[in-house]
Amino acid sequence: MAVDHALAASVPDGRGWVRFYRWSRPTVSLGRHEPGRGRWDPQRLAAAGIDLVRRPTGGRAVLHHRELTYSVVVRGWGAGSMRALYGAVNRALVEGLRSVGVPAELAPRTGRADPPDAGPCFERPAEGEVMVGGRKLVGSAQVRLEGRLLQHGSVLLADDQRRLPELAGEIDPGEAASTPSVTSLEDWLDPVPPVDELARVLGSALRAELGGHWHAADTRPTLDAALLARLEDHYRSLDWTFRC
Amino acid sequence: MSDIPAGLLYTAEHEYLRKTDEDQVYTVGITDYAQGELGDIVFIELPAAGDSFDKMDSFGTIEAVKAVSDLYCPVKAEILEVNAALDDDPSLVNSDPYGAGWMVRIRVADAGDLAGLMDHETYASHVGE
Repeated sequence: MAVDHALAASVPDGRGWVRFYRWSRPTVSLGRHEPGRGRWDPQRLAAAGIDLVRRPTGGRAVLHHRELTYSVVVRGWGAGSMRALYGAVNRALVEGLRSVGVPAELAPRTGRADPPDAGPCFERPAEGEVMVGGRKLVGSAQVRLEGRLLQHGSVLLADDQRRLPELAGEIDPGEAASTPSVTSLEDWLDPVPPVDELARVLGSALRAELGGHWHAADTRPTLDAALLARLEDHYRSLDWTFRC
Repeated sequence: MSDIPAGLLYTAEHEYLRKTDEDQVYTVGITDYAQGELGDIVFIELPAAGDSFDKMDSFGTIEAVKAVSDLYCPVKAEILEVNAALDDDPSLVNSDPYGAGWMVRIRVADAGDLAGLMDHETYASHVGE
């Protein structure tokens, strides 16, 4: 979270970042406005070896484990609106996934978008999200930070989302949760390509859709150490995680 | 084409100020253009009455679909009242941004701040309409 935020806070005008990463420990992330107090127990999560963090972006809970996470940061890009970026990124993800044999498509509009307390992110697709076979493969969310746009999201390699009801204490441990709305690359590819290869393919599709000239770079050395440290403290604080 | 009523003041961040009958008291919300760009609004976080903000301070956040944006205080002001109806039904901002979808009522601290705001014609040019 801190690195994504720091990239957004420091990206120069007319520039952008496309970043891929994985999680060192399984982590539940909550959306910016999603209720956390009284719903998520950090001790229960810790006992299961799972961390808890709150995103700066909207949307609802995701269990980050067997996934490839992307983030896109732009400032002064193209049409500039959040919806335009949302459309461009999701089109690129569909294109990239199709190139490796996944028949991905964009979710149609099926009614008003869900509020932040409507349950886990992958329970229902929002309009324009990446689906396969009518089920959600990629969950994404955005924030505008003083004119900079950050969009990040989870491309599921396997379905860990079925653990969320148990981790939230909504069902008993060991009770199987049904996640008919979720799909993962395991359902469509055998074997699932290495994540480096997926990142290369999806990154290439994102750069092509976003346009402009891109070059490879390592994110951390480019970031201001003090800014990154401040944001790491922010995202580790329980005040932020349980702000609502 | 979005609705840009005459008689209101507008900001580059797509907020409007509507003068009330009380001196230096204005109703603030986001414009029809802004709600259209954001899409389905699902959550709005507003300050408490009595809070004060400097010009361009973030006074709240708005979530549309899964996108979060700050709301910026257009002038230095004190919050007099917030629209509690938006807690239960944030879609009022989509359906009636200039009416039931108002967000806060403010008392302007420095009337000079108002001089930097746009009238409806300038705002229409700003959004390309």
